[in-house]
Amino acid sequence: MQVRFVYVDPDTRELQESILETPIAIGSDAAQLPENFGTRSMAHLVVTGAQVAGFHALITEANQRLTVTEQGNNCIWVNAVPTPNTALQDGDTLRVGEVNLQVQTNFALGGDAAGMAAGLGEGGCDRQIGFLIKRRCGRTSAVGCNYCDNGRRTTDPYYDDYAGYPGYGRYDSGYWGHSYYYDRDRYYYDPNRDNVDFTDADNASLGDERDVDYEEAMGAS
Amino acid sequence: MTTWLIYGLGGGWGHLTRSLALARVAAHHYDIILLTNSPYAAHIPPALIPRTCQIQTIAPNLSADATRQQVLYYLQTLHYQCLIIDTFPRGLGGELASFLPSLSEQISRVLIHRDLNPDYVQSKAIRPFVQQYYSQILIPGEGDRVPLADLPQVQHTAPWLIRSAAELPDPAMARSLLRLEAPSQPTVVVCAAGEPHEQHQLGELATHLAMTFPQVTVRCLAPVCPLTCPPNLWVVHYPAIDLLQVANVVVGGAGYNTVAECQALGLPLVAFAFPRLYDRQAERANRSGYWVEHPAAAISMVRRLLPATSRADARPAYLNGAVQANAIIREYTSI
Repeated sequence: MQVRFVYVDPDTRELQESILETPIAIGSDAAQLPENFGTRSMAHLVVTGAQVAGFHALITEANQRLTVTEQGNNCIWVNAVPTPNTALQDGDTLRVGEVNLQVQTNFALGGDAAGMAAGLGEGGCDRQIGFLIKRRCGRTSAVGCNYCDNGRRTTDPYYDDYAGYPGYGRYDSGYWGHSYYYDRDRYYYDPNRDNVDFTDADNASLGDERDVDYEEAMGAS
Repeated sequence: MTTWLIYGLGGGWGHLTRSLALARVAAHHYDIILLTNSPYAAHIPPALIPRTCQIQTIAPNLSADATRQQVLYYLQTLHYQCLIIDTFPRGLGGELASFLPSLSEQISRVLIHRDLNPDYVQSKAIRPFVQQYYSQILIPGEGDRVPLADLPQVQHTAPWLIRSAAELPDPAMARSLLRLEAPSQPTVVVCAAGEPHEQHQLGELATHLAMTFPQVTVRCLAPVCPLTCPPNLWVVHYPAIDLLQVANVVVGGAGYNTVAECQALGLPLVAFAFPRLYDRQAERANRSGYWVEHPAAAISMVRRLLPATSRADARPAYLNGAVQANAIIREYTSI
């Protein structure tokens, strides 16, 4: 999940912006920030400040929900309330030391449709794509992208489908999304191959799956 | 008088019979409204329906939308103090998903948890829905391997039966209804319920059994005579348990009622596991019957079972879980 931080650097007094993929380690010393979180690589947000510890806070994501946790008894505040750990939502203000970070999860992505069609720059497209498992697009060009229809669509093509899948976005045990999340490596973004699309093999692995029309047959038992 | 509304929608005999089993017991104390869309509702003999029980039938051939609208109409306009939902926590058409959250907290909600396809449970997020909107779950003799058996509000009962042991007709009456001309002959009853093609298949099997075992009386119990079955083998009667008590072997699908009735009577059931959208007949057949997959296997199984069976005229003794369920709900609701 991508998180955008907007804050004022206490030293330079300049407005800063960073967009990072979870998990995210926040602190003043890049050398103290862990490289990995479990099997995933950790993104670093280095903020200078006299009261910011080398490794001050950790932001993780589970089931599309963000949680921030203090590290080493270095206090954090969310919306001016001190807390050791709590959920983070779009628009919250996270205070780390003397730095206030505005947290955004629902933000517009850079570039208009024409720009996307022309190319998306070195970092690639920041949009969250996919239905079963949301993932960063990463394409450097919108050409051939079914998700945004070659850059012509800026809205989420699955928007209307979410209502048809109760429990969408829940991946814990007991929800239909659990098995997909469990098998996410089959179709998750592969940085080694730069493969963000379903391959033929991915399609084949889901080839036997079909939506069953539950709650439509009134003579069923 | 306090009213219980029992939601018994669903095809076939199963939901209707299980709901009526509870209604017949509860009707001694309460007014009962039983909501059904079973095409077999019209086949229920009036004598089986207590005076304080009203069967509210929704036409079985309505569209899904029209059925949902009718259900909601009844649920919103009828007066009741306890709502009992058979099998489908969100309703057969999902119509309860929006209704239950708006239902007054004063109305008790009870779920009858017959077995359910885990894929349905998962895809419709049944578990959190039940946890939120049902304060009591009764498992009617389906064991602890059903998907919601681990929820804290679960209570188990024996299988629910339309007749308690004391209500069964005299065995001589049962033999008469089955037209058993030689009472000493072993009897095989084929219960031809289910989908039309399943009734057709079971009617054909009854014919083969009669030809294979000339020293055995074979009867095919069905609401209408299957085209594959000679009329002299066909018997129409409801409920089946009245007649099964004098059978030696029963052949049929592994639906809830057939299995429960054979289990109560101590009868061997040669069972086919017919595919269902929500039920898992294979699980039940595996657990409680002699599971067969094709007619030839059924004939072989009957051949194997017949010598080991004998019927006494003593009245069977069994627990009717509907009586237990009635007591549990009464205690829970305190009404």
